[in-house]
Amino acid sequence: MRELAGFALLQALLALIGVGSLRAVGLLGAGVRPVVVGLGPAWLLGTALVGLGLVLALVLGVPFTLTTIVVLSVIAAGVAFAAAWHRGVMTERVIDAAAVRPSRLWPVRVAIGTAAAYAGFGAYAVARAPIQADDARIWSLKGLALTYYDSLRPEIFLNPLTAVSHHVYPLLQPVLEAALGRAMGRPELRLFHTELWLILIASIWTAAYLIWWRRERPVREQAGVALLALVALTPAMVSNIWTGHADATGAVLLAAGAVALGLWLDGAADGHLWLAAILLGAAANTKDEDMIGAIIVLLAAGAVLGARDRRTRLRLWLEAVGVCALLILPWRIWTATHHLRDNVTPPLPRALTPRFLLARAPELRRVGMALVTHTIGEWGWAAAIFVTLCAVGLATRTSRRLTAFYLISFAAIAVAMLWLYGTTPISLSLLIPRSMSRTVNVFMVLAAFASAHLLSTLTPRRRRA
Amino acid sequence: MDAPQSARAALRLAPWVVIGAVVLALAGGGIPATLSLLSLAAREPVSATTGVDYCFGESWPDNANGGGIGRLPFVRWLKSRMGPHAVYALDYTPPPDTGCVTLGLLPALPARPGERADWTIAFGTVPAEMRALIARHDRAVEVFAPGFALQFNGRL
Repeated sequence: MRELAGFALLQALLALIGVGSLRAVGLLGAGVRPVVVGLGPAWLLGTALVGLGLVLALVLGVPFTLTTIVVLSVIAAGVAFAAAWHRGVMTERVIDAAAVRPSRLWPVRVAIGTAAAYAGFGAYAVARAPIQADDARIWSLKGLALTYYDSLRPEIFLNPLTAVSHHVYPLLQPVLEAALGRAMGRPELRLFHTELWLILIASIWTAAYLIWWRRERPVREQAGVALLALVALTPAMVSNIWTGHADATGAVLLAAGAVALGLWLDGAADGHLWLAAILLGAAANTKDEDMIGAIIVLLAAGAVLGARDRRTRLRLWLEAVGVCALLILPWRIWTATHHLRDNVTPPLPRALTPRFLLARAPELRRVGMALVTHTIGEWGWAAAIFVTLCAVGLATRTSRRLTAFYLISFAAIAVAMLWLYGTTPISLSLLIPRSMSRTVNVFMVLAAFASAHLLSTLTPRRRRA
Repeated sequence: MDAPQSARAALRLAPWVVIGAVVLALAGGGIPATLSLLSLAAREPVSATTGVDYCFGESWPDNANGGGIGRLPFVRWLKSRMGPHAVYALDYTPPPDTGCVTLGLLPALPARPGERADWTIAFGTVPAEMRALIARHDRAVEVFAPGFALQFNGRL
């Protein structure tokens, strides 16, 4: 009972921080109803902020204890609500589009009820899964060590004997796992699968909230919600969460951040940009692939903005890049100061030279084939819809800039994955069967989320005055 | 720039084309596979202990055919002997699945190379020095099974 109370209290604290933070950036109005509608995005933002704060605290040598977690959370919530009060954005309206037409109310209620039942069933089911594969040897190993010890113990985090846990891998997921363990009073690794499941659901909720609810779009224009829902129903995603791998976590944070950035590029309020910076920072602290993805998404946004030479927005974009860099740097500085290297990392800078890449042509071809096979096999529906919507967007000039942003991001991340796999010193015979099915998530979840956004731009919009 | 009238009309159809594609995807078997996975997880839960020890029986490059499951009683015995915050050195042949063994032995910690360990674990083969102590019936060494023993490196 104490464990469940700890679990629930931590989630409530994360949601509270998120509510304050969303209000501070102008993305959540006052009152009960806006909070209920925005609870998913609020919880996700709170989780990202606390996770990033705890990574920084660990790197700085602050003891990782329940007291630290609570103090950090209370400070974060206090600062967020103070900023929201100072900003004075407490009266923003959030209208449920379904309320406009009473005849559509019941279908929407049934859809929300079904989604809630599925989310609840998923949370219950994955909480009973074992600790396995890379999760046992990398993520939960570090998470459990941080649950028992209040620092980055060198026996685990610097020991050559535990090199199998990849010391350089980012720390967000283990930190969240340890925070949960400390809140519950004892380690309960299985229940952390539920936390990962909640991150998936909250990311989908966030994209839906930003694209539709905040823009008051009628039900008939919400076909894209089905695309987002399908992400939570894709076997590749669910099995990834069931096994406790970090790929799904990083991919959904990256995709939600990209959608927030895409909305800002499309003219939405600046709050979207700051939300994007935090979510992309959290993604970059989850897996190396997602750090590359976050950098690519930010650069793609810069390229699209630069093409129009809008200096005010370019300055804001630069500030967001700075925020994201500040979130990424602590862990990278810590690994650099401890001279940590990973056996998976391509030999840099040699791996970027044309000569090296030409010599690796057979490996690159093999990886390319595997990428295409897994993309079509596991995410065929998302690939087909994304390509179609991009073609429609470019051909009809409906949302060219936005389409260019998502297309550049998608293609560049896919090429980056091709390069990572094609140049790694690790045997591809070992690497491809063990990880490729998970790695494609990083750009395919982005494609699904981007499709939902692109779809909403194909119909005339009715923005708030 | 605004899209032409005909293009706009075509675009109104786009959401429904997408919905159609999604329905096809649903029929493709993805959702039944997902629901099957979740149902299986719900129906066949593992206990907290079994959940953490699961990797010992899992087929992995360092754990062929999940052979490590045979070492699980030894690992549990070690945990009961060493106590929670011990530092241990692992003496092994052949190399075990170190990630899984480290997870299984937490909160005891593996010593870094050159670091003094409270305990030495013989994991597969007993080293000569430990064999000599066993021959002398030294109380610092406890034998679990042939090839598997634990030596306390402090004072008794």
